[in-house]
Amino acid sequence: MRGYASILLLILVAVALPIIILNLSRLLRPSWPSAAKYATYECGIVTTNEAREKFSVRYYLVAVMFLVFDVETVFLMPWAIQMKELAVFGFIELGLFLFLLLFGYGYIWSKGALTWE
Amino acid sequence: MFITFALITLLGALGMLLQKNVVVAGLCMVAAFFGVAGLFVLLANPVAAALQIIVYTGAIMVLVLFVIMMLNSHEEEAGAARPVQRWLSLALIAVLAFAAVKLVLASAGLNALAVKGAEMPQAMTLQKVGTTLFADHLLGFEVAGLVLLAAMIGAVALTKRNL
Repeated sequence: MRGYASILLLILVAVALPIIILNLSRLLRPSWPSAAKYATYECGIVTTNEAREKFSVRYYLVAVMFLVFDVETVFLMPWAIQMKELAVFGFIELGLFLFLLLFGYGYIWSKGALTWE
Repeated sequence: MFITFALITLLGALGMLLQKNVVVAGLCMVAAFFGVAGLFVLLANPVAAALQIIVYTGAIMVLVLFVIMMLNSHEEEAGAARPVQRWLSLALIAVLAFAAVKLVLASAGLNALAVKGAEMPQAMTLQKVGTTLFADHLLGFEVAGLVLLAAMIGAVALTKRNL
């Protein structure tokens, strides 16, 4: 457990900072609310509809691709650290793994999943 | 420490189940994931803790958020009462929880630790993960590659209108 105190401290500061800032500014600022002030801020444009509208399924494809390559990186990390010890066999093993994923990458590319239609 | 992280995990999971607003439920899920990561650190497995945060709170969370955004589920029907399913699920949870506790109590690792003066297991490091993953579990590793490939192709097949 030693050595984690700094991480814990970082998390605590990260949580405490917005709480402190928001509450401090609430104490200091004047408060004269009006309907216009409580309206949703949308870059100065009058809002047209709710924020919770249906999003395109294309975002989902992007999310899945992100997930797949995120997990791939996770698998690369232990190999990179043990690269010398694993020698040629580990290299071939990882090559096979990467080939599978590169094949998938080529597939999604050829199907046009990377272009925004 | 254990109680803190266990409480974070359990409260996050409960909040996720009981919360009507799906986005807040997703945030509760993130809290539960962080709690689990803390538990992994307590178990002397920082690798699993880091992966928990990178993969679950990073990637899986994004996926769940996109599903929420796609489904637009604040127009969902207001919880149709399904009493049979409700009781079935509760019974299933009870059985699974009982079996899980039994399994842990019966495991060889725990019994070895219960002996007085037993040696604590070494912390898991990335080096150890590397050697075991690429030597003992190489088939599983390559199968993981295949599963990722299947995930990619499946996502394309599901979302692309004209293949």
